[in-house]
Amino acid sequence: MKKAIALFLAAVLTVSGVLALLSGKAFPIPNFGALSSSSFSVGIESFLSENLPERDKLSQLAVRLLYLSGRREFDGVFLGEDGSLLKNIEAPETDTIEASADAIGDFISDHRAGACVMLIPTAVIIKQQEINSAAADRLYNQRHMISEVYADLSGKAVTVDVYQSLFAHRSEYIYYNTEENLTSLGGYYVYSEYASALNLRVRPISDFNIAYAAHGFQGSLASGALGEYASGDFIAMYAYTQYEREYTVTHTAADGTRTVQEGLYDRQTAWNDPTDILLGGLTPITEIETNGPYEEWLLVFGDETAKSWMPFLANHYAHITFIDLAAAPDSMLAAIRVSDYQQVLFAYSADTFLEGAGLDRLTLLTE
Amino acid sequence: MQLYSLTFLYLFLPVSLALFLITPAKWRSAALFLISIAFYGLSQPDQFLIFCGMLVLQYALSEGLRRTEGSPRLHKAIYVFGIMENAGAMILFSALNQITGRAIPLGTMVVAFTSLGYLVDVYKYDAEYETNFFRFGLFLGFFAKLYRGPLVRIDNLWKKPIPPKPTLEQIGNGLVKFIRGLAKYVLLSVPIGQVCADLKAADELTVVGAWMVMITFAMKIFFDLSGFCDMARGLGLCFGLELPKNFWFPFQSASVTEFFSRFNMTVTEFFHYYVYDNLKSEKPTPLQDALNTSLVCMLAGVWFGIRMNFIVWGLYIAAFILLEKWFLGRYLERIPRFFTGIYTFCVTMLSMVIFSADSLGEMLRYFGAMFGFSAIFSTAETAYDISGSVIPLIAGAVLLTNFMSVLIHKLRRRSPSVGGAYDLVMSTVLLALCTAYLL
Repeated sequence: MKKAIALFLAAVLTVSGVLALLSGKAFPIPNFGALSSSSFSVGIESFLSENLPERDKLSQLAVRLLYLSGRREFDGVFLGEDGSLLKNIEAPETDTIEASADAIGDFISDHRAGACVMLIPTAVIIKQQEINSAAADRLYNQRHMISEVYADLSGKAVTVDVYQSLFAHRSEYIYYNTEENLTSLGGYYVYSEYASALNLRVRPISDFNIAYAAHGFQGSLASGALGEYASGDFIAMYAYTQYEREYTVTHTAADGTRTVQEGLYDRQTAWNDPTDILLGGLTPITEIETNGPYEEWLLVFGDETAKSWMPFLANHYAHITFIDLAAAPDSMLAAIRVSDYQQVLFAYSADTFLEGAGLDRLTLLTE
Repeated sequence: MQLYSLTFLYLFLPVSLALFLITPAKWRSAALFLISIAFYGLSQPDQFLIFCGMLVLQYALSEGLRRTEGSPRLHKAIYVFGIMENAGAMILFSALNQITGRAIPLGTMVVAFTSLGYLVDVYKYDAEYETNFFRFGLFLGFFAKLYRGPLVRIDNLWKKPIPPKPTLEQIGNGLVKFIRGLAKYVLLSVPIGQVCADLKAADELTVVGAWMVMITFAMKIFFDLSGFCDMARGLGLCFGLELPKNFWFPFQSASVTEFFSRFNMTVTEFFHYYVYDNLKSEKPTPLQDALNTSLVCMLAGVWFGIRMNFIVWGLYIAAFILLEKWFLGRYLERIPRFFTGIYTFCVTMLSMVIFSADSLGEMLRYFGAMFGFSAIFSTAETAYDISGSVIPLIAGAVLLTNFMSVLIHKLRRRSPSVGGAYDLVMSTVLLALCTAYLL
């Protein structure tokens, strides 16, 4: 019997390794530099991790076992009671928060534009009732961080408190279950707070027609084996019905390529990320032009959350320019004329803000 | 690459085993030495030269001793230098680890201890010199034992002049043992260690929390050490080397003396042989006995690194061994094993406070909480941390005892073929689970 065990186990180890090597993917090439710096070993390990036969099933098996063990947090993602996946946020370096707040403050002082700051809490803190109370007690206090940043910027910019509004609506579908982003409904509540803070007339939700797409999709948080336990998502597209409006969305890629899209939503393209239906996704620079009665221009520095709330803002501005500071090349940033805009908005989700969001690159905008 | 990596499992092991098996007998030592060196180079490239330097230096010392047999003063000088050099290396690496936080290079403690023993053996004519560089290098640096041992003496390792070609049965046994060790580390030590870290990070130290920190810490240490030793023994069998057993269910001992003799056995025996036996007199006074026992226990603590809490841990264990020897032992013999087991468990768990503490203040805080001086018995946070890893904790608790071992032993005796089938199925399942966790 021991002979059979030896042959079987040796065969399993050898055949699995050979099948991984035959997967057709590029195997790391050893050279002196790679060998002496461990990068060769690290490369082989990740090659095997990605190409071992039945890796997805094995990965699923690990998650199932952890789930059976009672685990409800997987690599920093909580599995909520309602089937939502909630990404945890680690406590950041306080220096990063201060540096980001200072960068915004300096920009406002330099450009003297009407500025507004909106930090959006993530799902894990708003929907903390969905996770174990002991785990919830340990969550990073996003509300406190937002208050501190707002206190730093008081007198320099209008600060928008969206925390309370989102928390009040926490039992509604305001965050995707499997994606780290607000849904369009969540975006509407954020827009409402922004509009109130700037004394714009908030359009009631009844002014919009809602169409749905991508029923049951699973986002990036559900990639791997967690999707089995998560509820699916859908995309809601809000169309303003009170007046005839035409919207043109222009995307500028990092290489300068521009594409123009008519309307706020693109259902025709087969998107890898279904949330890109909204605005056709976001590029380093995304512009929206609206043929409404408004003449003001809005400059937005933001992140992926803009997909949820920017369609609503399009009803209040003639032109909105969205800039992803982390992705836009230097030359693109230098070409922006801040003086063309009557209003500037900094809008980031708490986790993007804590990671810096590329705000140190604001100094590249000179005009 | 580590012993517990996919690279080792699915590439390095099959390739190196195949190369070893097709190598002619006279080159087998050299082949296995080169496999060990290649493993080290791939796993610790930044420490590769330190490791090779250590092996060459130890070989030079051995040759120096051998060639100066006719010059007693020079012979002794080389011997003393060898002892001091190895002790110095241990102190230096431990000190660097504590001061700079730089990890102790893999295997340096094992190599230094093994070499110390070898130098004493050959100096005292208890063993013959190993003149073949490859065999000497393997004795010190066989890759599988570099992590946590076991410690070997040259006479125990080289029972035959060349490593015999392992039979298929031995390879089968070796792979089963290796996968069992891998599972102990990947499926038990790592997740239980995470529970321990989470409990330790809790805002409030509760009575239950403090005990659970120490229990999970003990489990983590045990499954880490015994897991790596099982891996080493399993790989040793695959490559024709028989390495000694290092653990024998220490946490179900009936006394601290028994615990000490079952925990990290090769290290305890090493110090018994090289220190205790050399110091003891025919009729030792209680003071001599106390000093010798304390020294051995203290050195057994130093095996984990030269830190004050490891030394104090050794002295704490020594105190109970002496108490049992002089006074407690006769009472323990009369008490049912269940109760002596509880006594040993409590003493060893309290010893974990000393072993794991980062400071004196932390140590006192944990002792206080474990004896009920904490304001809170337990919190939801403690329950949450434990509830996230129920299966590893239950499996770990069962595997701390010999319950499963006895059961399987009986099964094998009753029906060898069923026992074999169990080994095959269990090894395959454990391999799949380990792979799943390593992905």
